[in-house]
Amino acid sequence: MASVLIVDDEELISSNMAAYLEDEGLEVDVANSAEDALRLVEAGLSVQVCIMDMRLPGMNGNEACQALHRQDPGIRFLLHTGSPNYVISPELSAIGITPDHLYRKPIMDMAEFTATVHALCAGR
Amino acid sequence: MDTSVNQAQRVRFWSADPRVREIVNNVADAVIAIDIHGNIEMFNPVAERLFGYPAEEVMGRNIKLLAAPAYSRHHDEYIARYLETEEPHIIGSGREVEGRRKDGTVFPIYLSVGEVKVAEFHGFIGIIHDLTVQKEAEKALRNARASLQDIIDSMPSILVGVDEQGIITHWNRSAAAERNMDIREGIGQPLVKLFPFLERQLGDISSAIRERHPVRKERLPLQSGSGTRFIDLVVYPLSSADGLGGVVRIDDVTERVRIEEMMIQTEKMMSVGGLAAGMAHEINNPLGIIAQSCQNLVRRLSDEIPKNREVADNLGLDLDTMRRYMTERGLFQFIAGMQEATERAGRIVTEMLAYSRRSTSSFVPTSLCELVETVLHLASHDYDVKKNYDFRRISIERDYDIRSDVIFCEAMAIEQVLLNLLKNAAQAMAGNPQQTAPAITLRLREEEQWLRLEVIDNGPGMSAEVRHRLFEPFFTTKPVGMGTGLGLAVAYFIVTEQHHGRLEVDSIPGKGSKFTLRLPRHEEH
Repeated sequence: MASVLIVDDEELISSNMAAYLEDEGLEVDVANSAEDALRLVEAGLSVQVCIMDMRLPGMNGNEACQALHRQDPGIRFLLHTGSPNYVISPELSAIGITPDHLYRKPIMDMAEFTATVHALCAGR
Repeated sequence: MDTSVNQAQRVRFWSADPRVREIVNNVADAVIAIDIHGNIEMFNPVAERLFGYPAEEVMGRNIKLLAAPAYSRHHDEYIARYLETEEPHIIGSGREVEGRRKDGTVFPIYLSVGEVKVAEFHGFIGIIHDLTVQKEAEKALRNARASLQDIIDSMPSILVGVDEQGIITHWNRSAAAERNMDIREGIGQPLVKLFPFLERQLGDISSAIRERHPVRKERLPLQSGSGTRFIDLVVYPLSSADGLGGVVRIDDVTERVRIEEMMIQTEKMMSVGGLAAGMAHEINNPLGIIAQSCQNLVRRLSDEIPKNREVADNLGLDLDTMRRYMTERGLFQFIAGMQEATERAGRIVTEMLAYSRRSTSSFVPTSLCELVETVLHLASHDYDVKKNYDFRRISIERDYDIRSDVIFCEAMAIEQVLLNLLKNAAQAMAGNPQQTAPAITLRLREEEQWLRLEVIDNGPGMSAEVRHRLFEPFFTTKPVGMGTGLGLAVAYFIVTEQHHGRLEVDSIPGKGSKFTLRLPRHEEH
């Protein structure tokens, strides 16, 4: 089954998103920090798509994506940020993240978002 | 001429009588006597000192010797004319003329002449007072006056000296220029005749003069042909030997007032801008939670998802009945309302953030006319039943008189400004009760370093109150939910902060509004 990891320090965001994606038949894990996410992958969690909040306590989303990519280059990322001015950093561009992978909070259309997650899980 | 005879004859009554001689020799002014031919008969010690000749050297010689060339030429004629006509010109009185010293230097003198006719002598006696010191003093005074006038003329302020009755006694070049008059013309005229806008201030001006305390009035608004002007007025009381008076100083501070208003406006914008950047992230997170919760609620109430049915069945709940209940009690509408409100809040946050974007990277030379056309095209697709207006029904007049329409700008941002101005005009006209055919005039002109675009509508206009608050963030005249109150505030920020331009509004209630956008022209190098 396709596996999704949601990283967000805002628990209601990750649990709401997890609920929606689970209803869509996706297997979802949740991490409240970048450090937790790295531990989960380190412990053997297989992740196809990681939904990453950019502003996090401790390690930020920018570093977390790069660290996860080093652990498993197969992970695909979707960035989920509350900062309307956020621009994808060169480091993240370098690991294949494009503006198509950038979602701004609040996501008003979860159906479209879910379709993107499915597409990434299917390796498209 | 037989000088020996003359010498003998020259023993006149003034040297014969020691008392007369004593007087003549001790008078403080030069005393010179001549006969009717103009020959010098007497030359007292002061005359010797003054002209630099010893008396023996000038005795018997013509008086022309002592006159400056301009006067000496006609001296013989003067005497001849007098003897013939007996019409006194200088005789019996005096005048200012110029004398000549032995060394050739010319100097100012006051000459009074009297005729003397006694038994043995007929001639004239001249008393000569040296005016050199006096003339120099006068000259110094004149210079001082001229340089004082130069100083007050060099003042950019309008300076007008008035007497107690408000009659102009002095004024400077700026004052004369204000009236398009020659500087000599205004003196003696009533102050309010030349400066009618001071009519209302007349009470303050005269009380300042009478009570001898300065009066200062700032930012007095004046209605003039080209709009409202502002002046600072100061009245300084003066007192002199001639009586009371005062100096009225007028400074046109229109530009300063305008810049100050703009700075206050910008200040307001910036404080909101700074706040917005920090707040946006904090607001978007809870908005995200609400948005997703709503979507989850709707989905988990759906009868199409197997898991929903499964859980409901396990609990013995009839999902269809529950959905009907929710529909009848309007619960789905509440959820929809929450989603709509969330979306609106998200939009406000995004627009607020336009403040904190300061990028200048995408500035390029752009044709303003082309931008205008793009925006008109965009606006024509902005037909909105809810907003009750149709842009395509508005007639657009383009009044362009320019050589170049190139500005250096961030095209997208200026597009946003123009779209905002046009949509506001359209919405204002749609709400116009007078039902005049809606029209927008786009007037484009070059003005100093600016390209000036006026967007003029014939809508209902706005009150002064609305006009003053128009660019304030969150100020809106639209019904709740229709406008964020940020459109013009953002437009103002884009124009003034990002593009160093100006955005102003004028309006006559009932006639329409005019937005004036000034953007720096792009100079081709």
